[in-house]
Amino acid sequence: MDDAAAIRACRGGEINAFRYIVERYQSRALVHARLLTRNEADAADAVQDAFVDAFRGLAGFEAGRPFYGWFYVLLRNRCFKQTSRRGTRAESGISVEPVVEPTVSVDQLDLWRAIDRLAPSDAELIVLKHVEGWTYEELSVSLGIPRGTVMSRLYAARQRLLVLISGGSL
Amino acid sequence: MSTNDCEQVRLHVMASADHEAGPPSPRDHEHVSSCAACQQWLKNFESLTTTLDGVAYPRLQADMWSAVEKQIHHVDPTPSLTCQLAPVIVMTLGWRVLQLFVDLPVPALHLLVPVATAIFVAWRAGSRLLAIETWAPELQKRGI
Repeated sequence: MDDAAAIRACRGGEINAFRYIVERYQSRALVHARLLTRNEADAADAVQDAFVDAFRGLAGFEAGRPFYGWFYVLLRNRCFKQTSRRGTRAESGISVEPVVEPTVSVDQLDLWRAIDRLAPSDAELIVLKHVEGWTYEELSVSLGIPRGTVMSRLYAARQRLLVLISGGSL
Repeated sequence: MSTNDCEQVRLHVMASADHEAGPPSPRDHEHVSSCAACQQWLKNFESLTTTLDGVAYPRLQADMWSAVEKQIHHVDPTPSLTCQLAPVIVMTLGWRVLQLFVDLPVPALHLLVPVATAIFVAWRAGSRLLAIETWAPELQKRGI
């Protein structure tokens, strides 16, 4: 099954087809949500709510568009909501465990630690550009900022990441 | 050579490396070759992009599906406002038709049905607007 087939099946009333979408994207959505909320429980709740929003909004999803780009906007909104109501809610019921992979190099771990130390907006840009491989145009649309701003913010985010990687502090 | 020049050149070089702009112009090349700060920046930038391009997401294990499934399976047990009001509207129209064709013995009855209908509609619509909506999974999540 691929995204398009799963979405078609969901629209046809097969709720279980959405499982494919959730399982395919949950891990990366959790990474993004953690970078934006800086809190495990908020991130898990935001991802859960964003998937529910996505399911309910599937009718408005344009077939042929990449699912994750569309979903990311929902996830981002949920992360901001979750952060704004922090302290008024109980811990999430979803447990998230990092999977220890022996193949992951120390450099990669250091890089993720450095990304974690960036401001959420910088970390978001770096990850979407380099890990997701989004273009400036896609970043501009999903983040709701002009292309020129994407460029200048990405430049600044990379500068700050360079400082952190080389052992400096912001 | 101003900081502004450096930043403009770097932005163009960066966009070019990201395949978002054409190749750097001869002026950009000239600037970089004559500016030690930009040369250092370019070296760092190339090293950073090489490192970042090989990065993969850390794997996280979570059973998100069971939580999502609970919420999407949820069906609001309260019928929609239109469904609730439909019988009242039908009855009111029926009453109006009856008024036109039947001579009612008690004139007060003419007023009774419209007033009762107005109160019922205001109660149903008002309670819906003022309701604090929540559902079982949300309450469970909050430990209520």
